[in-house]
Amino acid sequence: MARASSNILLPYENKWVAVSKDGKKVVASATDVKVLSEKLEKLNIADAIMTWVMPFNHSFSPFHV
Amino acid sequence: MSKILEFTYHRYLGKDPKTNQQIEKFRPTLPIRISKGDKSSFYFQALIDSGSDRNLFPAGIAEFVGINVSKGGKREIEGIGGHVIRSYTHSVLITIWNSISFETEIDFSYDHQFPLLGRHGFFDKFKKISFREKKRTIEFKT
Repeated sequence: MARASSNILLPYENKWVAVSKDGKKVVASATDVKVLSEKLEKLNIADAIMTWVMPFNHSFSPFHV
Repeated sequence: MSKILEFTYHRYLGKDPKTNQQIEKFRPTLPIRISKGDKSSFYFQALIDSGSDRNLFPAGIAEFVGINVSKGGKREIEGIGGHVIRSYTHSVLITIWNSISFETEIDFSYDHQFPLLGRHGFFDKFKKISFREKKRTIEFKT
């Protein structure tokens, strides 16, 4: 599996994104993972990988509230 | 038969608190999906978190596969700073990126975003999990 370049995440702080399998582009985004999943289903994109883009000035320990 | 799986840490963006410069942060995540009956989620990155007692996912992932989240067993989960959130436990099938699958329990919450794979229900499914911080890889032995 290709490694995503983190720069493509720059416009998506605090959002869920779906990244193409090759890691080169964000194919969809949403503030909620369910909404993002529904978008992927509509776009018929089966092989993207979703990830949560944390606020850039946050560290993780151990959950975000 | 025993199996070894190796995954590379995933790249995220962060900011250096001293300089405010953009930096890359590498986190030990794993692309997984969940399934309930015939419906599966899309793959998503989940953090492998030895500090979490249990698996904790955002409720939206469960809703997408048709789970009625609030019908699950209620739990209160406490994190850093004493913050407590409500979650609902359901049994699902987890599939690790194009490899193994197993049934497990996951707590789903409307107050949480980053999926966490914890010790009960994830770590205890493996003989060994090794973090290689310098190499930024994680290895699982089944």
